[in-house]
Amino acid sequence: MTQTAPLVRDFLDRLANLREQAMHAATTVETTGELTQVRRRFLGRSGELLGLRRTIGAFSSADRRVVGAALGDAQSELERTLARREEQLLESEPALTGPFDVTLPGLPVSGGSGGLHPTTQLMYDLNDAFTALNFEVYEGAEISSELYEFDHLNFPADHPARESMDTYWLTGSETATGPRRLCLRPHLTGASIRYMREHEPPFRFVYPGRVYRNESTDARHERAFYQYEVLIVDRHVPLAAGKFLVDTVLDTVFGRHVVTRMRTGFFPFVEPGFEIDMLCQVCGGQGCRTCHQVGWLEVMPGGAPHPNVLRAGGLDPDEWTGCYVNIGLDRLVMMRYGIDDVRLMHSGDLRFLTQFA
Amino acid sequence: MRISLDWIRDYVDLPTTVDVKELAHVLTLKTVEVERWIDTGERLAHVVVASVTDVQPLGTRGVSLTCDVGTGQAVSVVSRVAGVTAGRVLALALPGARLAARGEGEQQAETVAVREVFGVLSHGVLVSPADVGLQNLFPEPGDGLLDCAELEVPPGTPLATAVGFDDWVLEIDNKSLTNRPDLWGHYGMAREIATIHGLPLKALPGHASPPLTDGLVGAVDPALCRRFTAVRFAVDRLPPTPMWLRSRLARVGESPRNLCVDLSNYVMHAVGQPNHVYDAGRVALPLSVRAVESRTRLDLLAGHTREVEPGTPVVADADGPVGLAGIIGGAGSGVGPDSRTFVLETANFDPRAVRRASQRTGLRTEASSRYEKNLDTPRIDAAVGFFLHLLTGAADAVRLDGMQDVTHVATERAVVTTSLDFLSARIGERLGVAEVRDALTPLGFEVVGADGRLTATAPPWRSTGDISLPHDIAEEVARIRGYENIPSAGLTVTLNPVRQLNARPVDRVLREQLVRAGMREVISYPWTADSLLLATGHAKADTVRLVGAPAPDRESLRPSLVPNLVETVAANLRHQPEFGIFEVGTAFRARPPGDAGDDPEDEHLPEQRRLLAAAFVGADGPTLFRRAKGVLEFLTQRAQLADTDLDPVSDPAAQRDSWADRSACLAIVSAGRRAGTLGLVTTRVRRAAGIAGQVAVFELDVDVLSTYTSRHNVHQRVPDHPDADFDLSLVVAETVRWRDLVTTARRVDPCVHDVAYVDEFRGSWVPAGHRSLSLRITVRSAERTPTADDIGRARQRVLDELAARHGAHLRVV
Repeated sequence: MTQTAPLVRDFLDRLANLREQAMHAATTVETTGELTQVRRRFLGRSGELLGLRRTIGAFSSADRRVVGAALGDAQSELERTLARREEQLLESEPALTGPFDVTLPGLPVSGGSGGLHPTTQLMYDLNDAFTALNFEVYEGAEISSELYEFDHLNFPADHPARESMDTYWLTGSETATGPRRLCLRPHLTGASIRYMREHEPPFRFVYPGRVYRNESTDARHERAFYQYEVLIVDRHVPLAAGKFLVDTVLDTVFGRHVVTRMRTGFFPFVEPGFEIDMLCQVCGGQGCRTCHQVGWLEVMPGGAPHPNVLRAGGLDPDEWTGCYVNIGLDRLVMMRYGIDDVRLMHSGDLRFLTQFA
Repeated sequence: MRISLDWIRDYVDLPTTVDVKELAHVLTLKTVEVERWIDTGERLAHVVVASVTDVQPLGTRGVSLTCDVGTGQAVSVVSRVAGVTAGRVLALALPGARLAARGEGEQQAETVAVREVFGVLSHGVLVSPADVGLQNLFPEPGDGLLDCAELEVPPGTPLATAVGFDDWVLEIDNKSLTNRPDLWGHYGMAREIATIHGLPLKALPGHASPPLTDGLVGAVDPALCRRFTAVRFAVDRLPPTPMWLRSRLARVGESPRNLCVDLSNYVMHAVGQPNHVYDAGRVALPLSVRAVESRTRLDLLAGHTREVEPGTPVVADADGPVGLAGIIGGAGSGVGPDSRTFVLETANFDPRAVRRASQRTGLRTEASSRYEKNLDTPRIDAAVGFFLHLLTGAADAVRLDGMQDVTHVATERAVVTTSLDFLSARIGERLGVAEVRDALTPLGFEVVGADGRLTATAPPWRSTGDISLPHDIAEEVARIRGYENIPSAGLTVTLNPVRQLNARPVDRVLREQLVRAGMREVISYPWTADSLLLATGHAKADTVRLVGAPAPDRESLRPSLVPNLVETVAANLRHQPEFGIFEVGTAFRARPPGDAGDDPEDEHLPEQRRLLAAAFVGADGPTLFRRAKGVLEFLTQRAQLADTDLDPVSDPAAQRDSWADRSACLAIVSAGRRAGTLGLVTTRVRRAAGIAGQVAVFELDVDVLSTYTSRHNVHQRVPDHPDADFDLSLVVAETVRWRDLVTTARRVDPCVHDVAYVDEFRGSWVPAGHRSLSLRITVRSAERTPTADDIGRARQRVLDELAARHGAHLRVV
């Protein structure tokens, strides 16, 4: 004991000395580069603290506990200090080290390889087609409420789409209902109620936008995707108007006439409802993988607004009627260009995006 | 749901010429979406019924058989099954037949070919039920061979025909059936097909009701059950289920079990009415319907066990629950091989109660999905009658002891009053009463019309919510007449001013001009990674967050477009070193909780702002910054943005734009309001995103920008005389900004028309804290071409003024 005590004291002195040096260096470094060097010098594989640790094998086990604990304390204190300093440096270390005059004029633009996202391209093509038919382009809020997205749209109170496995509800409104239960809109149709309340009928408008569903993704399913919805409200709108709207859309997308079929369909917010299928453009209706051998692809549901929906929009269903058509925009983009994975749309991958002029 | 065409033909005489693809097409157009049509015989191609005429042993390894397959030419087959004897009638797979993989799936399906086995040519393979996917239809045989004796067909009959698998099965998308409870059985679907083809629908076979009795049904809670019937019957020995019935069940996806269970399933698939058969010896009658009062453990069929919550509806006997009402029966009361006495339960449970219990227990069955759709009560009579008809046909000496029927509510037929004018206007073609009646009568409606008014009475199976409004009648008429026959009509246009003609959508103009400036549009998700939120100075607690977010670290909706844009930059840097991208999208910010207010419809939506953000990527920070600035200046001009300025910022973090570095940052100001920020991205953000090079970004609030309502450029007279210009190279302190020098130089003399930047230099001969700046000054005069004197005077005045105001002096090289 008498022999080893001075050794322990000696070790602790050396440690205190080293600790002081390290802490000084850690608190005074000025760049993240210097900080990395300090870290390497003291804590690295061949660093000084580790060098000291290698010598503790010579101590008795009781002494080893004492010096080991001291060494551990010093090490973790230095790590904490370095982390704190790194935060400070990241906050204050400028992106530019030299002086820079921000008032210098901008460089002339070079032009060249710019381009819109393919979904935006199609959205604008459709906007142009519908504006030529005297439609207004409207935009609704992306965060909406159960009131507008479900209650006003005649969804039964226990409809499965209201569950959280289908719709992205916002944190904090889980226990609320109606106007206070907020979500990322699961469809565009709620926006039509907002429009109806803000405008005087008759009206005709389109409202493109992004909608959200809480589901797992694969080549055919996305959590965020674009829809394009059209609504006409007037005193006499026959169901046949739906066909006219659909022809407008498909002629715009494909630049030629596309064969469609209109069939019965059920959605809570329309009565009667329909679905429109287009002849599969891959196989020409013969049946292939794209259309699951059926020869047709579902593209657009629609129908006349349900009387309850018109009422929610502040309109008298005995006086007014109308026609909705809803289009899955991404799906049409995919068909327009032959894209086989919907996830590419949100990938931001320039190797994909630069293909579309 | 699966619909067998062979089964449908029991109820409609469909011509044999009807093509399945065509049938699927018209059903899809008019009624429900047919997702696929399946040839159930396809798997059994080249498998025939064979009669063994001779057996020769091949040592101990097997036998060589001679088989009659009806062709007049015997076929010789080698089999490893030694016990086969002459006279057996077995299933034989001929060359070309495909057999299911044997064993545990590691082997591929096998195609039969002529092979040499034990030195003898074998022209086929004797198959087991599993080889051809019929294990549901035939009990597992002792010797592994599919025995066809029971089928009583001549040798050579294709197996598909012998077992009734020469059929088409339509697979219906269940989603397209949610509003049509009447279509959840073959009979309802047959009614649609009959209507579409203009064919009569045959009556469903029935049976006289057993005598009414007591003691079968006790208390039935009217909140849970509208009608509950029980029939008690006895059969001394349950015969096996007939092959045709088992075969149909197998084709629609059910596994045959015993006669009672099979009949119960068959009736459900025919009529759409769930029902259940109890072993009367294993229940203590009467049966009752009630909600359980406390948490109760239930052992159910198919090995399910559930601890159900108070309020869950059950069917109970005198001793306790014997099944989860409308969902599944109990394990202890089911029919077994020794059952002799039975109780058939056929009930109408409340759809909401069943749906809730099904969700809570996670048990979704054929029965619960039908009850959830809201069934009508008269359907029970059809189901019971049909069950008894089948039972008495299949088993001898059936004793019907009695029936008890407790009805609380009977479905009332829906009556809808409308007019021909309404229907014609909605559908888009002129209709008379006869046309409406022709469309609706085959569906079970009664139509009465007078003076243009119409009263349609719906059949009970369409009266549980499906039909209630004139619009529903319009839909029925339109779909049966055919949407495809509605003429496509243009609309009469009323030229109201539907939109502000001079208001251009600013987001579109911005996008299109950015594209002209060489930028590429990207679209990213609205949710943002926590690490980038933190790096860009946003507290997670202040963000709008999602329940069930796509990833645990992406619960927050983006408060700015920058974090995701930087992430997109990082992803693309893997493939190219230099590019420019932008995004236009919504950013979200939580609002402090406010008063509920008086308006019951006040939604208190979070703040949702339309932002535009652009990123420029490359190696040199100042160049990127100036490129971004150039694009911003281009936008201002091309998008006709009014009154836009770029002002130096000393503390970007204070503006909630902590992504911008203070060494290179400008505020974007529109008509005095802060519209956004231009800057180099901080080291911290780049570090968080994993980007080594520099990134310049600008982000602006699209709705804060003010735009001219029309093009604002003003014509300036084209000069009559040419301009002259000269360059100045000055040394100035770093604290002197370019913008100040320009402003001063422009004001000096009316003939100074323009001041342009040429370049700057810092280095050896420039004093510390200074830089050398070169600028080009254009001189213009209205009267004459600028002379040397004009130029010299302008040069001197500019130099004097810059020296006096900014301490600039001429560079001396």
